[in-house]
Amino acid sequence: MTPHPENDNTDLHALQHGDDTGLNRLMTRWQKPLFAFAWRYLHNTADAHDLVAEVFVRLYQQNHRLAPDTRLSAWLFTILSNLCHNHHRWRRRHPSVSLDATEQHNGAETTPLANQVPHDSPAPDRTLEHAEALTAMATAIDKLPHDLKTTLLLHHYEHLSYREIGQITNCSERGVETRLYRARQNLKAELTPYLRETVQS
Amino acid sequence: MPPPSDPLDNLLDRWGKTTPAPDHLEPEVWRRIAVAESPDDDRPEIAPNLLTRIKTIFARPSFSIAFAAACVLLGLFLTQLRTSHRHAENNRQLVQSYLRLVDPLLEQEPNTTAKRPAENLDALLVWMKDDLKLNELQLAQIKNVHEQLSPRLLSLASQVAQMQHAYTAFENERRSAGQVDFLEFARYVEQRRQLDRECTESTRRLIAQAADVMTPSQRQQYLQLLDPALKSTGSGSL
Repeated sequence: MTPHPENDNTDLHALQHGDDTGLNRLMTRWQKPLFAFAWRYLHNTADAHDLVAEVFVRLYQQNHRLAPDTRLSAWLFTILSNLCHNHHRWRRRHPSVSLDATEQHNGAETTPLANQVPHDSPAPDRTLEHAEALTAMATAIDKLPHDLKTTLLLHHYEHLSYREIGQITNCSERGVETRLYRARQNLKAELTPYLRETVQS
Repeated sequence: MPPPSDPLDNLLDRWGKTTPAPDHLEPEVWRRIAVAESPDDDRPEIAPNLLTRIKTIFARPSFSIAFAAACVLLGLFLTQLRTSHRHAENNRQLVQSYLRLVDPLLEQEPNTTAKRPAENLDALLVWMKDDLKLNELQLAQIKNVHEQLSPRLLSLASQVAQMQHAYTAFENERRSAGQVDFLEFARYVEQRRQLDRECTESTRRLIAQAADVMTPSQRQQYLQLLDPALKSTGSGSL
């Protein structure tokens, strides 16, 4: 998860002894992976940024409760995944249109709204098929239950071990393996035509 | 030879490219920490936030409908509770009134605003009909019993009241003069015993004649209502 967990413990120790720069160092180290996880979970930049900030606020508020040898990376991802889960459920009950979210026309999803807003960046060079495949992938991942989604994102993108994922999701290594298998099976079932195209290309 | 890569992994890799993280995280985190640590007085937005949250909740039709339905049900429940409470209180007063009618030895409640039992007989009979589920024939027979015996019972009740006043006079004399006329007091005691016997006998006769008209279940309920009078007259074995 992190090549030098002892750095986390050093910064946590500093934070626990009143050195607030320890939190700055932890933010510098962890904001990118945490933001990436939250963005992939929610597909919304503002929400992902908001939740990552909330994670560090909680770390500051609760740092005295953490043991000195706490696996901080696992703690951070645990808090973040729970926040993402709650936020995702809230979003389902209070639907709104996001610039990052995909728009739907007559049931068929099209490109994200952010890509339709005029901007200075060059136009994406991906083909229409690729865009459709990515949109289908986003939909399929969004449909996954929280446990499967968290397991898949942590394993594929954060490259965490089964043991580390088990610590975050409160599950055994065997359970993580099962969840990962089920997540991939669900995705394959949803994305069969696009996977065929990928193989052919 | 390396194993062929899973096409799902390729698609996941392409999908997983994220947007760059915003670079103003640190100031935002410290701002939130400062807000959270500031005293409550410095956070006037809490009340508006609460109001906004309440408005948001009530803006959902399902919640509004459920809340309105809950209020209506609660209102109905409270109305029912109040009605049954009033009915029970009314019943209690009628029972007391009836007991005073059938038992002259029961003392009148001080400062009572209830009508005298004789004036209230029709209302008492209506209550008995409803409460004991009497039919018209039973009601007519019971009414007849009460009309025959009530005057005697009322007369006895009046005598009991007079005897009570006489006893009070004896007591006052004892306190003021330090002595009483024992011969007169002995006559009083004998008269009072005689009156108590007559009261008991009259009450027993009325209850027995009224109960004869009733079915066993009605009789049982009737005797339960009269339990205080039966105990005072020693007629528990009626």
